[in-house]
Amino acid sequence: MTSVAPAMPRRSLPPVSGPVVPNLRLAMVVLVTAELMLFAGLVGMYLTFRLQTADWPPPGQPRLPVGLTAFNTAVLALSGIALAAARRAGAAGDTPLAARRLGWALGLGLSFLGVQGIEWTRLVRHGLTLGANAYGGAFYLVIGCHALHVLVGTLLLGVAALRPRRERLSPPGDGVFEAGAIYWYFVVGLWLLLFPLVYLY
Amino acid sequence: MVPAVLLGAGTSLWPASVLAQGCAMCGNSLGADDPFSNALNTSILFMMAAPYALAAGVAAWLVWNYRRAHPRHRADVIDFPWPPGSTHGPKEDPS
Repeated sequence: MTSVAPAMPRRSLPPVSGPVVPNLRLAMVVLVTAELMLFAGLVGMYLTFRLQTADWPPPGQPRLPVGLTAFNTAVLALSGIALAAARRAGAAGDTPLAARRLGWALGLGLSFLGVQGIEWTRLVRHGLTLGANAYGGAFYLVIGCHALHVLVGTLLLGVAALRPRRERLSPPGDGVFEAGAIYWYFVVGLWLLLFPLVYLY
Repeated sequence: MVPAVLLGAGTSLWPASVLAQGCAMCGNSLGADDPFSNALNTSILFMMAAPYALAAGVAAWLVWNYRRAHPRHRADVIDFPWPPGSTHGPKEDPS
């Protein structure tokens, strides 16, 4: 008769230190979710105006510059990629490289805002203003609100870039840099949805 | 309780066209094939779906993070002796 061998002892996992999701990241996700609800309302308003008429833009109103904005979309997407690369370099401890990449992300973001400003100036000269009609009101409200968020994102990344070298971009994670990065991903991702909706549809 | 249930059941059997007039805007101003009515309906559906989609996305992200941080224990393993009578048993855990 053979006796059944006792079960192997269960390996105990090392204790988890700290929360599963860092508090800062969780707070930023809550903030971004609230912001997404704001934009859901704005997109709902835009859809109401857009879907009720086949003539869009309305007669006598300028068409939106699709080519220039497509280029601008690529610029903003590149800034998001540069920021992801900066985070990777920061996590690897290469602070100078992370700072350079963060500078690229910041510069590309500011370029996006500059091109948006040029585009709006031209549109206003062609008669598309905020109070002109529903077309202008919906356009400036949705795109302007996004531009305001881009401005906030550049301020956050700018603060992260201007902090003393010993404090920034270093593991286990600089709070301002982490918060700015999450916010910037939100801004970039949201634009990738808004561009086809407002400019192409 | 019973009157409330009866009232609910009776209301649910009421013609839909009468129920639609609960909102003066929807009942009187907008027709069935009105473009503005269709646009408004699409917009309402979009805004109604948004909070559910966001809540589901955040919940899925939290679950994914939690499972990544706390992997499940595998069941304890008993090396069953085979063929019967052999001395095959569990190996010692080197740790």
